[in-house]
Amino acid sequence: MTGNELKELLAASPEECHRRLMKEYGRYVYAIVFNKLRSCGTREDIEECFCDVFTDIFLRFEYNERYVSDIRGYIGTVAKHKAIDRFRSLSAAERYNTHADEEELAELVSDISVDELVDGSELRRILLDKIKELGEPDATILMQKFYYNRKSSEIAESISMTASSVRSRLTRAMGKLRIKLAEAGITR
Amino acid sequence: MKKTDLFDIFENAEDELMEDFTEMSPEISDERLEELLAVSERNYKMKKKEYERTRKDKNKEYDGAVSGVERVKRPAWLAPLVMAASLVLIAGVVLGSTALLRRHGKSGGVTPDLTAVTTTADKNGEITTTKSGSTVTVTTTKAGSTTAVSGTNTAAAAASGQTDSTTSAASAAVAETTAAAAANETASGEQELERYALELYKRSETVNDKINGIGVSGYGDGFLKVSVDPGLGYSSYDYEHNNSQWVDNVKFYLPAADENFTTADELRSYVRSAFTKNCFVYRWLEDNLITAPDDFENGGYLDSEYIGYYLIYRGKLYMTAPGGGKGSLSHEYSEAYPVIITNKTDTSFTAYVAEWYGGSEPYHDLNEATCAEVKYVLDPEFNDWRINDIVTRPPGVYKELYDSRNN
Repeated sequence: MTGNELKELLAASPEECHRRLMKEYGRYVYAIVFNKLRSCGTREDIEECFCDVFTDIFLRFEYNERYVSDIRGYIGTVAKHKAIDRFRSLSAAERYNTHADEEELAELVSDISVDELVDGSELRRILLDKIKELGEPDATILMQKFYYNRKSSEIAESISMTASSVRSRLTRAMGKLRIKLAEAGITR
Repeated sequence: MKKTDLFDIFENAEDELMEDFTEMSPEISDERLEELLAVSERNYKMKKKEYERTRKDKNKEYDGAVSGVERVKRPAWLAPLVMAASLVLIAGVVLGSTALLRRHGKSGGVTPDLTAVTTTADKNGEITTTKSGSTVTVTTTKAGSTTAVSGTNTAAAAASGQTDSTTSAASAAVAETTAAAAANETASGEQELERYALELYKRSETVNDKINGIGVSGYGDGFLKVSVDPGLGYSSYDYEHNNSQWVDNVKFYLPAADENFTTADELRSYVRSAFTKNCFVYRWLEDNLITAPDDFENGGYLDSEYIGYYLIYRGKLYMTAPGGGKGSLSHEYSEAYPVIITNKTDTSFTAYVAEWYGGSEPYHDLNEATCAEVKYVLDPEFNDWRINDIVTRPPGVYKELYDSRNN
């Protein structure tokens, strides 16, 4: 839906408009918020921040015409600022916890490390390209597991597989990724 | 050299990678989306009220702005004349009241008005239901389990010192009526719990408003001025100059001096009189009760991690300065649509409250209402009910429960 269509919907039914906004941009906001809070926030912190972002967006969308013309851009900006704010307040608390039940899978990535001095921006691009080269569903499984910290059972449910299938695909995909990264000059 | 795990390098990534991250992000289920939406909706409604009020205040201030000084002269004889008139008025009220009481005494008794009912709940969870002319006290120590009921009659005639037989008969009749009413109320523990749930919900609204600066009874002298990070996008009334304009990137705080709290501990206790520690309201409070660093001086800069609604500075509690007057659109409730209680256990229950925002009359049209789903738990710290969560639901949710209860 365009900004203008959403604005019309807002006049007819604010709640429906908000629902559409969240449906349409929810994953985008989640991706941004998660990216900033991954290292310091729990899933609850991330979801709270997600709600704060949408509270802000609902208000701005209603009162600020600029948001109608480039809604995605503005939503991205609001999400980033809110997430950075939350990051600042959370990083002092260091409340981050991993899923203890899946620690053995963490070993799959622990043997690939990168020097901090390598240009982060270029490295991110290469890594993402190599992951995408693995094809679907492996790329998504890998990202959801090691980046989004989802449990294998949760990933399995979302892509209609069993948890054990997800685990075996993860092992194979990490093997392939390791070779691809070595070819690109990224090794231990 | 410090090493970083492979996927950690994605953190704090460039904006252009977000599209890829979005595509590979976990789906948000419809059920979860509705839950997150409900939280955002509720926060949005609260913020919108605040925003509308601030905007209205701002307009009012500019519309009503005047300049110059008006000199007013009062004649010297005005003060004694006003005093004399006041004395005559007071004497009239006293004489009139006496005459009225005597006339009632002769006509043979008093008919108490049993229709005017007020119900109050104190912070210990005790509910008192008072009816004019007679008093029924229903004390609920733990709603739904122990209910002690007592009825007393305080007829106005007895209060005037008359004890003739007519008055006694009237008193007995009133006592009988009161006892019947009390018996009905005892028989209906469920109704008491509904009433209690509503009272606690109303209290929670007052508490929630107040900790957000709405309806605060007063502030102390002086103020704190804080420069904030421009990235936060703060704009405030310029409290330093009588709120005459907006200033960017500055926040003003005033000393807390509400009738319910002047310190951080009192503020916490006040919020705990309605909410559990797990409730989002209490968690919001904790997130917003921030102690300023030791080296902060009034007028200085604070990082965003120190910016919240409250600031504790040198042991004193400050709260965000209001932008002009404060007020809020209160909820209205309909007697025709009482609180509906579900999932009741010894330690928890859920109440559904039909509520209408002020102005959305009539207050009996469920299509105009919103439905609050309020979760109560028995808080072990008080051995009393506290609100653990509030979620706004569409009115259809209440309607469905209401229909199934009445059919």
